[in-house]
Amino acid sequence: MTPVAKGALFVFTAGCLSYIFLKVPAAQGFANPELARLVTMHLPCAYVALVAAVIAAWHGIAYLRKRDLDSDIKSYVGAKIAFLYCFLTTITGSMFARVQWGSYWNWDPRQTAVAVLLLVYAAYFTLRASIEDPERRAALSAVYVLFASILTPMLGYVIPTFFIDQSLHPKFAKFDLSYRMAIYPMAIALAWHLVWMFRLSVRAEKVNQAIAELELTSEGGLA
Amino acid sequence: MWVKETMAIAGKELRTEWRSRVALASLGLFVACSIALVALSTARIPLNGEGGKEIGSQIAAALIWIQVCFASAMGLGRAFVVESERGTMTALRLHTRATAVWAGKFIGNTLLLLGVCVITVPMTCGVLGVTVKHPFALIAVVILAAIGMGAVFTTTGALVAQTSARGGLLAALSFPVLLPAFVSGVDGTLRAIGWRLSASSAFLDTSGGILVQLLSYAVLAIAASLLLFDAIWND
Repeated sequence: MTPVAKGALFVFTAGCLSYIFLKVPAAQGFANPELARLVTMHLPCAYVALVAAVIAAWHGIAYLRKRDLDSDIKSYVGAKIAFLYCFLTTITGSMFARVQWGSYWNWDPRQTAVAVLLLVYAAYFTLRASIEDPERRAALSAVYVLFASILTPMLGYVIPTFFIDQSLHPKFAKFDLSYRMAIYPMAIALAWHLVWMFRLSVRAEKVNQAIAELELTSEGGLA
Repeated sequence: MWVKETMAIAGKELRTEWRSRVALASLGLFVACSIALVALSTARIPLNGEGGKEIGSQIAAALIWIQVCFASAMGLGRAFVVESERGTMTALRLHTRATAVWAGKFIGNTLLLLGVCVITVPMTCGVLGVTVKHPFALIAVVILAAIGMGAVFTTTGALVAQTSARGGLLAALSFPVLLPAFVSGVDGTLRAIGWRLSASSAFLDTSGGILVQLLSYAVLAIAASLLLFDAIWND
């Protein structure tokens, strides 16, 4: 990213945060109306986690179709970023739950689904660590990330939306304009951060793999 | 042709298991030991009376599926590991379609899982003094959950067979993906036991959605596995 783009990202993020802290009104009807503003951070994190999860799955499909290790690196980096944003979603959600519902954790289906996604990505990283051959690692990781991407939305979306009447999360949330003006720009800011992190991490991962290959070659040469 | 290949693999799985009975015996023992531990640890909890029965129902519904999950993680990973240990994987790859191999192993695994359920459900209910008010509903819940779980364990088992760390990896890979079936299984078992349902209320009126959840999970798990298995098998 060019210095100008980095500066623009900084200004845009600072603008979003200033709007959240200075302009978004307290939401009446909550146990703690002032801290209901937390939702303007929590929801964008969840949206970006979903985008990163889609990126991981998309590049997983690309790897299985083209067998190109670049796609594997992109899928892996997407999963790492999805893990980070799932973690941030969990933290901001737990803070919101503590102040509004009285407990950090309520075993709500959507709350649990994000925790499950964290477990899925942790399992994905463990799977990658247990396979040495890069091509086999790429294929099996792509299969697992796709398999999980098909099955986990049942817990996070299908069951809470269509089968459960009582949930702490609204089925279809409706926000007033001041909240929408905070949530959507914040989601754009975080998505911009995602793009930046994604491109940087892909480059770093390529360098790491090149170093690992060089080390293997030199070990082979010494033997 | 595909069905013939699938049935041949499933038949081989069942015959091999019947000859040695290793998986069934170890899973049965695991379930028996864990139920003995449950009986000992709940001995001091008063499970009689209205309040006690409610606690008993909740403990039973959760324990049944926890035991089934852990027993499956112990036993179902063997299906593909055995092929690589015996050196029969290449022969299977040459002569059988990937999806037929998966389907055959899936049938074998699901039947084994149902076997585990046949031991676990009555023993856990018996130990905790739980009476099942809707037995046919419980059978439907168990069958649908076993199909979904069987599909997941077969696919993750095939993944794990290709790695160097086989021990705890099957549970680590399967449990997060299994959670929707686990949650619905526990919910369905609770309703089938009659938890918070009056004796006359029909299971389907209040809890038919749980059967739909389990069925959709099973269909999704089977479809996803059939789509992706080729990439595991022919890699």
